[in-house]
Amino acid sequence: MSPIIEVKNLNTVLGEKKIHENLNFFINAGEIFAIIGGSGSGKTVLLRELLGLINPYSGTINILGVDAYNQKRRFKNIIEKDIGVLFQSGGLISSLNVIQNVVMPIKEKTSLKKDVINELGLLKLKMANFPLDSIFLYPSELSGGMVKRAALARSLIMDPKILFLDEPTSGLDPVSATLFNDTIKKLRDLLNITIVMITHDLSTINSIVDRMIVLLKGKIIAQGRVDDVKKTDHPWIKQYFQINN
Amino acid sequence: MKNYTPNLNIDITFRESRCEINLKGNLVIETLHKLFDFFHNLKFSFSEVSFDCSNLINLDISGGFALKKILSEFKEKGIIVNVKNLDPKFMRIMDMVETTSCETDFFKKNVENNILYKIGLFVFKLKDDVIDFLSFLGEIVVTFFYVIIGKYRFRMNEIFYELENSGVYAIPIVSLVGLLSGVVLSYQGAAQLEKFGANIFIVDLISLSIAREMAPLLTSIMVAGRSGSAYTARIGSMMLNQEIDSLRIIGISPTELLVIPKLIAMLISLPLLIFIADVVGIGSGIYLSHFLLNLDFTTMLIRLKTSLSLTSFLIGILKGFIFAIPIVLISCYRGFSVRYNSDELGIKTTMSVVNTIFVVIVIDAILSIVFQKLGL
Repeated sequence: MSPIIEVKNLNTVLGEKKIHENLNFFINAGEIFAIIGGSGSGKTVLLRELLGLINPYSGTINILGVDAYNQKRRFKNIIEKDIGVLFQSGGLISSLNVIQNVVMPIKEKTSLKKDVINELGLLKLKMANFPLDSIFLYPSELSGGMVKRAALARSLIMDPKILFLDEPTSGLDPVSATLFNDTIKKLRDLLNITIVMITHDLSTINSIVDRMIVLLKGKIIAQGRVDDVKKTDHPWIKQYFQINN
Repeated sequence: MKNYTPNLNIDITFRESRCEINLKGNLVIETLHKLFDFFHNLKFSFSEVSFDCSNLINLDISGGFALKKILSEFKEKGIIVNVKNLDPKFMRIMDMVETTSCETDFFKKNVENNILYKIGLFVFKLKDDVIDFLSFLGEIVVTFFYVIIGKYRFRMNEIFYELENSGVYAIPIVSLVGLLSGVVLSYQGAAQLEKFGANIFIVDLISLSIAREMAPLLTSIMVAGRSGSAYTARIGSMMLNQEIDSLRIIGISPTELLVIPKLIAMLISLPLLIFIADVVGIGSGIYLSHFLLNLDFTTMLIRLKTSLSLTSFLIGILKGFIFAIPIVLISCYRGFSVRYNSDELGIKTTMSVVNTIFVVIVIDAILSIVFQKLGL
């Protein structure tokens, strides 16, 4: 397996504040990769960097063989075409209803007929376990779990190669969270999608995650397979896994 | 890994009533339209069709869906379909599509496009709006009363903050507007008055029209557009962020914290801004008249003293007190009525500016009649 995402010597400075210090990690194709860490350790900033939304201070980010910094246009192309993102708060457009939100990317980028587009949207919504009688509701009328599922459907609509999930199960009840995890695992197994997620949910980490990194105060304190990380001798990691267990 | 643009080739060969279709390349979302276009243009003159998928490199869920849709269309027409050499990996995708696809009779016309329905909805919304505004007004009056009797805090900090934002920072634009209205009046007036040789009456024209009408009206419109929209947007986004809800839970009345200081600040700042517009407008008008009509400053200032009575000046300032109330109340009310989403924030901000300016002009017209009848 070859790395699909490679981050080397990444340093990030936002304003006066140093966010990341010398991050090095890689993500293999078809992996479910987790980024965990304390609040304010720069997880979301890292995700935004991987998506090219903010620029690092130094270091390289390489996704699907394209350098984020030196090949900006191609990188943007890749982001638009091959990457799906589920933002923390869903990021659904509030003036469009669920089905319009979900089909927006294909509507913009393909010349398919309207009924085909709608059917594809329904297919993806069903894959994301969204209740189909609510597809005409607006984001403000949805519950937290439904927002997540609708946003997952939208991130899947272009059949991405890499899926970024920012705290996908936060705000979901355990049953829905398990269902969500199953969906993600099924997607990976079926389509060989690479999944990168920021998560705090230990059940997610234990059940579906392959490899992970642990960020603390801008540094990676552990990385590797979940079991190896658990064995790391670091007070924060020990506490993390103990408390949640 | 190479960054490719996906490509799909469809070869078709006919053998008597049989038809063989060879799919080559990537059947993914970017190439779906090719598949649909191809089968849309195809004439159905065969009874059996077979798909050869051995050259299919890539199939994603959308591709699987499209393939399945095409197959079922053939089946509906009574054509025998078989699929050959489908990769087991792709087979699983097809199975998944099979199990998750569903009926699509969701997309039907809604009755909401009916014009009568829309009119009815508008009327009911208007009714709700009026009732809501009246209850908001009542809340303000009660809160104001509580502030006066000392049950609520008198928020000095907030008042000064609002004074700075809606008062001090508005001085430049208000002075500019005053200056320009002085310029307009002196130029327009000079051309007409010169014909009658009534040059000195330019002072009456400028001073009365600016002090009584132009300065109060233009300043209020500027402030309504400037501060009113800001109030709506600020309170509206607080509504969306559940900040207002949390204030209520903490036990702070949102009207007391957000509306009363703005109201008090506006009652102070708007008359002062009108005074500034008066001074700048009349000053610039008289200064220009000196050049346009060759009047000297002493004569004009003496004339100004007799033409601009204290009553006229005070009427202009009084208008500031009167206009301040609808500007703050309407814009805050619109802010509190933002619900659900950011779309509504935009709509309500627009409504707030339109409503405040409209109400200011209506009140101004009413006041003109009232002052006329009172002989002021």
